[in-house]
Amino acid sequence: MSSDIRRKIQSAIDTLRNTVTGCEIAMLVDRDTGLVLSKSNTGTVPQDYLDRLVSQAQDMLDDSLPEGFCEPHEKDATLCIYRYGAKKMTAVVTSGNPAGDIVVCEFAERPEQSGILTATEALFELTCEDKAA
Amino acid sequence: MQSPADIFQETIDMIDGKTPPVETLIYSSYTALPAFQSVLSQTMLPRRICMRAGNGHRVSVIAENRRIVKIAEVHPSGLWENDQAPHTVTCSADDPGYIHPLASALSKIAESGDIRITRTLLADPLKGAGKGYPASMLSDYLKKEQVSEHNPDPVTGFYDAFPELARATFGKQTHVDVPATSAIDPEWLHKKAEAVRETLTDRPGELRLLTLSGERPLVVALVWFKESGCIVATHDQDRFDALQGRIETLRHLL
Repeated sequence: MSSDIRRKIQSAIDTLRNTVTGCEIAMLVDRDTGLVLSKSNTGTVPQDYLDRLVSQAQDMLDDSLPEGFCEPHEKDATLCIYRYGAKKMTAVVTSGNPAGDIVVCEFAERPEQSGILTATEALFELTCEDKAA
Repeated sequence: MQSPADIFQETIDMIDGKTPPVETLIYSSYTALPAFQSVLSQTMLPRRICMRAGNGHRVSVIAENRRIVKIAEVHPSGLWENDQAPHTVTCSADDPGYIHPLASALSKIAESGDIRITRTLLADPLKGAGKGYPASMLSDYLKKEQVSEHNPDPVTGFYDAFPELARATFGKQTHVDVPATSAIDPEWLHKKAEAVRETLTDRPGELRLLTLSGERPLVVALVWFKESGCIVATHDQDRFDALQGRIETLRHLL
């Protein structure tokens, strides 16, 4: 990942966290390995907390897509899964883009769906640009 | 809602002795709990607050600094859904284990109607009281209690709220209900319900909302509690807010 793209991705992740209401943690994650490629959070968040969040996100994708929830749909559609907890909620966003990355966010309050989709779309465009380069 | 003029007049009447003090007014089922919370939030010095129904059922608490610091009495004992006797528990916001049975007892008494709320001086010095449950904390639990009463089975309640959409319930048996006009394939929905059920069997509760944006958008809401669940699906993105709002109300059950 070139430093220029890395800066752009970090900026996009920061923008996502700052613009989507209630977003406390935002991460770009490699879906296959669970590696956090870029993150933005308020305050200090322990690494094991982030790891648990990533693991939970991968479970969400695996559980929510048994035999492919999006079977009858086009491959480049954006999939957004919200998991509600008693206090926090987690959102995982993925798309059919060749980069195969996912965006994982944690919210303290109900987010605006349109805000998440707009911010993640910009992020996915950057990751595709990076992979192409 | 009372106008300021009405409140002012009531205060003057009370001072003149034309109406009894607020604590001894009789409340209906609808107004009793807000009245109890109001009395609690106005109590700064140590006082005993009792909510008593026409049938004799009652809950008494010791309040101070707008907090319930001790539960003095719950009568009859069947109203208290906990193994530990109410007068022995420590009321502390750090340990909210006993506020749920307290809220439950208050809600049951309020249902009885003809409620009287009294606030009296303490006969004995305050001993062995905890830090207390703040009035706002009690309000939160009373709200939860009321939601639970109106929606005893969250899965059925969620399922029944969307009769016009494609939906499936699952647990011991999977049942699919797809309106003739829906774009959702019943067989597809049945397969998804079965697959999701298998992944959730070891979980007490789960709430999810899945959206797929594209040429054929799809919104799927999943609710799972106590070994039964339901899926509600639609191709209409406008339904997103309605589904999300209903799921939000179930969060406190997790």
